Amino acid sequence: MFVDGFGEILTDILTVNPALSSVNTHFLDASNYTFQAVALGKDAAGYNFHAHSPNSITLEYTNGVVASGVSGATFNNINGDSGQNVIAKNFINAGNYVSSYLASATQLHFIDTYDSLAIYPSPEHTRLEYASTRTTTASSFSATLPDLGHYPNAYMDSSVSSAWNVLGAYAPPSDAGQRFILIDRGGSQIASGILSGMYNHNKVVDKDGFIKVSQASALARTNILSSLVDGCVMFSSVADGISPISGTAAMAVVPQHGDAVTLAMFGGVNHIGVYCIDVKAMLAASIDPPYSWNHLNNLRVGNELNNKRIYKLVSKATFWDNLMIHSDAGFTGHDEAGEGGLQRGYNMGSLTNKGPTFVIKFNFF
Amino acid sequence: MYKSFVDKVNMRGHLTIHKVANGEEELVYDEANVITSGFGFNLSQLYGLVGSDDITDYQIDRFQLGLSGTSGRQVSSTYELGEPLSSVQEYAGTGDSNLHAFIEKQYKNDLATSPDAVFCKIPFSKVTRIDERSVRYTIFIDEDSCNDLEREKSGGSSNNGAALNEIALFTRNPTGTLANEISPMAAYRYFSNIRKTSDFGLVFRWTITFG
Repeated sequence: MFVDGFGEILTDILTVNPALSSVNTHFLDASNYTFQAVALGKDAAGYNFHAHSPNSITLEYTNGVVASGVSGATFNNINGDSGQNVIAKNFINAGNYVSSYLASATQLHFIDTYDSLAIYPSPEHTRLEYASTRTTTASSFSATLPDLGHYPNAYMDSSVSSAWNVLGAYAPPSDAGQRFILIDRGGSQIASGILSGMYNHNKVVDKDGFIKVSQASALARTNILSSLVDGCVMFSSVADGISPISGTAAMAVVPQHGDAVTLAMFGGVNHIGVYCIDVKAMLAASIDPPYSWNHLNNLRVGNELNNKRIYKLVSKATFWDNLMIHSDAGFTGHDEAGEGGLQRGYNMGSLTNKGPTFVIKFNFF
Repeated sequence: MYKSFVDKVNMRGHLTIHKVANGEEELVYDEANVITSGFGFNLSQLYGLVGSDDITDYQIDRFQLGLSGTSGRQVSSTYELGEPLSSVQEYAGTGDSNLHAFIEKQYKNDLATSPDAVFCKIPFSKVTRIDERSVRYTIFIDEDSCNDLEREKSGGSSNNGAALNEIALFTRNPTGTLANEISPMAAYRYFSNIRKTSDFGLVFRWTITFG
């Protein structure tokens, strides 16, 4: 659904003064108005369940080791593990779901207190969820916790990075050695592994959870996987009815490897938001183009200036179903045990990128 | 249920036409108009990352007037006027017209470019942001412009005083083509006949709203 913000961007396009080129040619860069970022999210209440809610899990189910996050330090040192683990409790660890995390099972378990429905989309929306998305299970943490309406990327936010594993939602790169642990009702580990977050590895998700949209032009569907190092990918595919010639364009959003694991464990994805740069707001803040990308946002690093991006929501897709739903295809003792679950790092069948591909199609006719 | 882009963003157009004579305006037309698929083509070039790198190439900056508008052209698939004015002289005449008419290329719906077509420039000073999601284009056809248009009747005799009855807006050059600017039609409106003479001017106020 296009929201009113898109109409504002289109009006900006139609009314930007051509004479600005004499001041700064970058004022007229088309990229100031293209899709620049994507955010993922879920129902607001869910930000206090799933892997966001480690305390009850650790207290009840992990040998009595209390999360130390309440004192503002590191969360979730459990079982003598010195790393920061993303921990979720599998309420339905049976049959095909042994190493799978099904958000719906958590909702069923907390059905009296937990409304798992994402907000119904409206053209007037300016963020993905309107209720608070602050993870209050970490309320004793010293820094102000994010309330963005979508998943933050706490790992890259220096003020809250020590709680990244409960705030979410994007995994550290593999060389950080951080783990995920899926436990059963009794507190026993049923799946674990080293997280391999590709978005943070490639530095294409900023601290506020905005995933960069590559500005590479004229990409085909076959270019998607090789282009993910630059974030989300705009592409065309005549065979799929996606062609700018016929008024359509498409974007591939591909959470893969560790990102798919953590997004699943934090409760999944029910919203996809698409954003343009809010040029008017940035100019009002005295930030002139060209607008470069930096995963830290809000900071200037070295000579890289003007990377404090302000975004405007222009389109959102909302789903009743969790897009990260998955289930084991194998069973214990089988060669393919864990395939389809988290056992092998969100290995959905034969997907080489270990994650789903979401294609957002824009029809401008 | 499929909804067109125009419906999805609640994109609407509205056109008023005033006759201006002796400093007074008389409203002669006031209707909604059709946003055409060329505007969608414009956006797919921008958001598909295959078009021009200059945002002004996606702006509406030109128009055409014509003589053979029909209600049948009031559909989104319309990509050309029934019978656009065919020369710079038809727009600007020989007097002191304030119009800037010029020859460029035009997109057709089969993506072939037209032979040379005649457009008139909309000065940026006549592009007004009404609010956060509305923009208005003001087109002034002064007393010295588009006067005494002639077309041959089917029998070959001259038809002095052919009437204006259609207008369209065009974006500049969304594909960023360097050799020529190639413009797709963004909006179209058929209106009741107006036989333009030097006795009066016309003011078209065209408002496009998103949402």
